[in-house]
Amino acid sequence: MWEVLSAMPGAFTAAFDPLGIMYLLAGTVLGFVFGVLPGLGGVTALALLIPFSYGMEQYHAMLLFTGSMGAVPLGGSISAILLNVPGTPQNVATAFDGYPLARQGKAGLAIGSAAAAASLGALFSLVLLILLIPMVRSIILSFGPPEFLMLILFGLVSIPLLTGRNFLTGLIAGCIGLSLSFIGFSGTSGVLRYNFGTMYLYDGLELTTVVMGLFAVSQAIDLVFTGGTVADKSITIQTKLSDVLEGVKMVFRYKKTFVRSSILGTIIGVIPGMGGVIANIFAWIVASQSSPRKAFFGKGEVEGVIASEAAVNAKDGGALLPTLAFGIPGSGEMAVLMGAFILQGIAPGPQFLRDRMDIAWAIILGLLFSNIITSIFGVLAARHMAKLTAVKGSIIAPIIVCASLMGALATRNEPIDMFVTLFFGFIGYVMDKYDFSKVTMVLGFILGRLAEISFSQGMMISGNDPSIFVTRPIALGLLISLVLLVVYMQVVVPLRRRLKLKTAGQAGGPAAKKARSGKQQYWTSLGFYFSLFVLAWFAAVVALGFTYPRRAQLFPLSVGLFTLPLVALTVLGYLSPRVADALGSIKGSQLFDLSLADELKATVGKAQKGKLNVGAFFTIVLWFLGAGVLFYTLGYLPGTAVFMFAFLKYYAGHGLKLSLALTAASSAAIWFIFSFCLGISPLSELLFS
Amino acid sequence: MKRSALRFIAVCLFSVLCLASAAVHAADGFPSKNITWLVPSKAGGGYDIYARAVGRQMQKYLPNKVDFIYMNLPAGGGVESLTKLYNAKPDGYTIGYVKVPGSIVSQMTLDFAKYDCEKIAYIGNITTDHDALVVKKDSPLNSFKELVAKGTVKFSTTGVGATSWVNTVVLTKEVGITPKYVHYTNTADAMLSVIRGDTDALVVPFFSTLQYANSGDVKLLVLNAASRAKEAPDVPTIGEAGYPGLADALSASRLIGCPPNTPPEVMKVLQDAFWQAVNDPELLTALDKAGFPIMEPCKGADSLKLVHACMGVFEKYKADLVESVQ
Repeated sequence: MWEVLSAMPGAFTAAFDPLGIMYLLAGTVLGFVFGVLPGLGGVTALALLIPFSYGMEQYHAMLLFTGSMGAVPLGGSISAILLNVPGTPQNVATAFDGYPLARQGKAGLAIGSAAAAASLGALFSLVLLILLIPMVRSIILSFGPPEFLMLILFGLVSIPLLTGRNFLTGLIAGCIGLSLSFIGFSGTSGVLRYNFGTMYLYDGLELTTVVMGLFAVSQAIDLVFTGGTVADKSITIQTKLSDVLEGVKMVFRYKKTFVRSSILGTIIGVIPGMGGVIANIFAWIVASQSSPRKAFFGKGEVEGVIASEAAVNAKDGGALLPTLAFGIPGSGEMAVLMGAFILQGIAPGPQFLRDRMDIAWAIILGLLFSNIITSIFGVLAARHMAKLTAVKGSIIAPIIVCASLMGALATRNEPIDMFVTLFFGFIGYVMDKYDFSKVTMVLGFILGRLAEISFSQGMMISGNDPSIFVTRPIALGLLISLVLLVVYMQVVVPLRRRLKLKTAGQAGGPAAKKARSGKQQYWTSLGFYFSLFVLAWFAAVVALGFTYPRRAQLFPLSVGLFTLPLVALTVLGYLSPRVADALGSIKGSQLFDLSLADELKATVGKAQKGKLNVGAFFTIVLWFLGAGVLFYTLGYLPGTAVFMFAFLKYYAGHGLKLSLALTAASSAAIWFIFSFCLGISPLSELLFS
Repeated sequence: MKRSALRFIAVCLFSVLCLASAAVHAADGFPSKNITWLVPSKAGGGYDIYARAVGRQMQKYLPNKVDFIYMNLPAGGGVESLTKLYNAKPDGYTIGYVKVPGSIVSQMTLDFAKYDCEKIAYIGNITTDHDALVVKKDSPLNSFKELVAKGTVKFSTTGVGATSWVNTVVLTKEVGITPKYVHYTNTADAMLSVIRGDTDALVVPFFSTLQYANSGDVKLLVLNAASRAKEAPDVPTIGEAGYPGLADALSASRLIGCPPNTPPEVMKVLQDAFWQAVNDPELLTALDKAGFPIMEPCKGADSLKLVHACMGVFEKYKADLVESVQ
């Protein structure tokens, strides 16, 4: 312990000279901006900085890297709060409560609490990290493939169980995610699956692409439909500094949630392959289940923002451990950071913590200060940023679309990613409206590959004896707690509820039934077509699954055959009111209350008056696809200019001057970031080479 | 007020157009725009580290100032990135890796690997690694001989299609060990599996094992090279262990090249810049310090010889390779 601490003062004075502080600030600004923009994140920021760091002094390079890493999460949470667009995948759960708060005019409060939770979460995890250093070996060594499999199983089952309003559609969404993870080359069996003959799918779908589509593009569609502003017109937006500081205080009021989330975030960070998305979502779920204010979660509860933000920022401290101590990156950012270390002549691995504690301290302090700087900036700027919620959705939507398309392109320089992002945007919008949990789907997608790999590795280790998954103590413990949780949620809770209802002498049934019995024509419901689409997809998963060699079949076939009847049930629900009632009563969902016609009638703005409402959705789809085509054929700069102007002027009906000004400003901003900083050609190679 | 707003817009538009056209107009002759480098590993992996380091240095020696854009395509143990390279426009603006022996063995055994390593236009070989075999520090096995005597050995590999997999198959076949496999996806995970005791042994490039050996987590039983390494002088070579013929078969090289039929004048520019880069002392010291040294680099023409040699060696192990993934 003492050796660990004694290296700190030396590292501090060596690293934090004026030049070092400048690098830290530069990294922080870059990280913050990349966090705010959807699609860009820590990985892109670090990859961008690596060439600059070449030849730089080691301490300074570390400050530059950690500066940008520490600033990304809070930047991402700001777009999540203000626009419901998570700036990075790891801010997904921040939007659950942050966005409802913004709608209530309390964006300042939400940002204030996020900023405070971020810094304090980082501080907490770094203290924890120092305490954990002596134990890191045993933690990492106790997680092998069987433990991983059980951990993933736990996550995948508990999340739809705890979060979804509807367990059935939640499960289906999770399985959609799992099935998407099967696409591409399977590392353990050497078989290429579900690539439909294209090389594009060799490596499967890119996480950023999927998340950005599901959350950013679908939110853009929603903003266009809603027509108004994020914060309701009738509400006065709080823009005083005292409102923001109120949010800061909240972290201390909910200190139990804060501490629990920070610990959770750190631990998830330590386990390789888990990462920020899982930390964020898990912390929110745990908080929402254990808080006495349970009922307010998801409707604008500050405690939810604190839980998710504390966990994400705590995760970086945790993720440092396996990276430094074993050369195993604990997160995507850490993987790139490791590459950067090596180019700096620093080799992460077992000897690192013993020999280079000075560098470790530069990293720890860099992360901490970057978080503090970002948080102070967040607190000071929050009340101005909150004003963004008074800007019309039809102005913000095209900007989100352009930024998402660019983010998709920048992730790995693959133009097709732009269309995949759009595709998941459309799907995400429909999933939202029909209660298919997008978060569960993302988790299934992230964890699916790891689950399959862990399973086959476990079987290979034990020589095909499945008992390995239940005989190792940690794996067994996880399994038992999962079983207990399922029993509790599915048997004890409903039983208790029924008893309560009986004693209260009232049945909630009839009223709910009445609400649902309005005339339903299934062919006007987009949900019906979506269910059919999912049914067809799983039929394809199963049919193709049979064509693969046995070692590559097990997972796709079991997921496919498990899901097919579930999806068939939802389709039946549309056809027969009786099935719908039976399904709906499982957890009182609103699944079958919506038909597209009713819904769009209520939400479509003036511009679409008198038009066929089903058409309105597809009009948006076509506009956004048009943007994709422009980006693809002309290149992103002319694409942004043409799409922004056309959309603002002709779709949203804004004035010529406003449209021109916004187009020019956003084109310039996008050019600066993507060509100037990231070196992406502004014109498409298709036409201009 | 109104006029100033309009002027502001005009200035914005004008500057955007100026900057855009500046990006389009570049110098004449190759290279006149950024070069894409396809990397068959995730950001931070060995191939990625070499690419970024060598690319950075090559930029110095290219006749015009352009950047390298790195595209990480780890799928299929590198099959994806090489297939993409093979089908790219042969204009020198797409370059990528050929893993020897990984890519060549994939071509021979995986049905979806549709490329031909013999037709690639080679820029050169960045480095040739020699593998080492490691076991856990408290393993009862203390020499390669004892390992062979054990008969059945459970190996970690860094993944189907990876060099570690190929070399394990060849090694076990040649010395008469019955192998069992657990495939991981990267070196660190495969190494941890050995340290944890889930598997018995691992064959990976010598320099990837040094850290773990120095920290006392694993011990090296044998080095697949013609002579002992100065970093670990106590570790016997495969020749000393009784199998002198294996040293050449078990090396691993990181070649880079362009799509087939890339014009020779373009190849010359790239090859020259490459050769200057891998002989630049600045690069050599930086990579040496990081534990990713450049060893036995070679020029474009000699790279093809490595490919042919490798093809000759692996023809006879085809059946064993296919069997090892079942």
